[in-house]
Amino acid sequence: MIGDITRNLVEQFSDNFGRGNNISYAAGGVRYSDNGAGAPPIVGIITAGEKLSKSYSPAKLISVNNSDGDFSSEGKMFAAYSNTIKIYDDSGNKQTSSLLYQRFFFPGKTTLPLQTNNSMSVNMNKSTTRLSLRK
Amino acid sequence: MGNASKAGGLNYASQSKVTFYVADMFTGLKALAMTQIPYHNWNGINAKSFSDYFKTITDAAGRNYGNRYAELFEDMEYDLGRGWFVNLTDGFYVSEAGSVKNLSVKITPESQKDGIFLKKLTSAAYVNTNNKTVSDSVAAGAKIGTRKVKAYVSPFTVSMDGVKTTMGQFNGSGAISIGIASPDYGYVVGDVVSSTEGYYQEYGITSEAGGYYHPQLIENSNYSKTLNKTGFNTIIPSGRIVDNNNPTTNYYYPLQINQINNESGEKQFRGKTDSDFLGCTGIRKSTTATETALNFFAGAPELVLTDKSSGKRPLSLRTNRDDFSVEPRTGLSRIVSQAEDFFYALSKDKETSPYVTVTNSAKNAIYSFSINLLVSPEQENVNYKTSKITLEFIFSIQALQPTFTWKTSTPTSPGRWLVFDDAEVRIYGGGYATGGYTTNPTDSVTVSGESIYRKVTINN
Repeated sequence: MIGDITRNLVEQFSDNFGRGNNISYAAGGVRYSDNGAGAPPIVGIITAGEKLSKSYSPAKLISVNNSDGDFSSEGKMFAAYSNTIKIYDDSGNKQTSSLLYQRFFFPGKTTLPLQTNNSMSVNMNKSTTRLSLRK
Repeated sequence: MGNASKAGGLNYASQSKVTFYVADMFTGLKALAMTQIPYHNWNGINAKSFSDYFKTITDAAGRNYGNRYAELFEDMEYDLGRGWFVNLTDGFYVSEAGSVKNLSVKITPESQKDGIFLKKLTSAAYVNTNNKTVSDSVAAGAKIGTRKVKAYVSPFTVSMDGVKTTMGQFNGSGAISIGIASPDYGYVVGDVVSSTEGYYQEYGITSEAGGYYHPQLIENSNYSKTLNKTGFNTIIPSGRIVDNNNPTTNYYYPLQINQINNESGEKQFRGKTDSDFLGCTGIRKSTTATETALNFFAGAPELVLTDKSSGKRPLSLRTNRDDFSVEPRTGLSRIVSQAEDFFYALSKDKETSPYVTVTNSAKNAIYSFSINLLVSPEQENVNYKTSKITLEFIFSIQALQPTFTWKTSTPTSPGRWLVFDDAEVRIYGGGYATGGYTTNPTDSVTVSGESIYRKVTINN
């Protein structure tokens, strides 16, 4: 069942990896032991899901850039399903409920990687525009 | 060239100093975190005292924030630059022929010392409390968490806004901010341990499947069949924070079911055109990144991986909880502890300690240091005078209190900061030394006139 929901997310909504969106996670903050193929062998106690996710960089700061008051784009769509979530829209296909497909607006900022020449990178191409959702 | 602050009008200066009161960043977040109280439940909780707080603070027009949480988040994040990221400066400009305009800039630490501080502050390097050389590589640093050497990583990052106007695109001409960047975001997959539990759900998993997943793995049509085969009944958006001293120990913050269920039916949208599938804007229709972050790190409990079984699942993610008369551990509490650890480590690290001033100790400690930055045009052949900005960081641990309550360690549990011990909020700003404070994070100054969050001094 949970796979059905994630498949619906990919097929029905934008702003997810399965739709080919290139969601950029800006650097910054601590890395994780499941950080990319170059990470050292995992010797700690982490969950199976983290071991399976080892080839991806951590999803840190998510870029967001919205038109004022437009809640239907940008941000990041997530699937949320549990057999304990009540379904508001339970007429017919319960998999259509808005509770199962939620859009979140995360901290989106440019970080400043220190360059080898000791200057900070402020290249706009790598930057994110700060969240602007004010109505 | 110069930098400018919006506070009290645009001040232009070729040299300036910004004093940043680090504790205000966290006490301000505590004020905002109290919006999350409806999702919590513990023995003796007084939820009304937290919601009543918002009736006691007002916006610039004198309207109180009671039941106007979205406006409070928006005023803080958009107007004041005080949220998950806090603005240290508001922008960089050039003054030419009597007009001030944006331009693309590059930023350089003034000295090697300034570069080292920036590197450690932005999490590019570990900070060592024992004067031992620690690799700059965070990944390599994962091998270091031994009893002899403690290496801490910064929970912060530094950010720079670009600016787009009708005149063009200007790299780095916007605000410099400091933000909390230790968390990342993904999914928790598992079986809810108790389907009748209204708060703080825990999840049964196995050693082969379940736990925390990267969204890039989950959001893949090819993976949906694999997910179905696991037989797990729940997939929930989750935050994650790594232990600041042990990168192989993580803490998990899946949203609670009462948060997911909180969608009211408004602000829905369709998937594809004419699709039957509806989406919604998550958790109370949040319109700010700060509220979203606090949904995860103040509204949800902290879970840890345990070998406690649940039904047919041999492992589980459980609340990291030892006392049911107080709140469960939360991400905000974890982040405050990590910030405290980081500043303490800066005061001991051999590369930074000569430049860190420490007054008092333990929960009364006050740490301070400065970073000098030079700001010049990005284009090499443009002849504008370089601007200098000094960022002074002052972190008074005392000023975290009583907004946060320190719960001392027990033989079975380490000490921790309580976020929801009471509804107290004190933003001390420059009053950290004199005792002046304000209870309103949207104020400019304390009741005794000291700046909060930051103090801008021009032409220092």
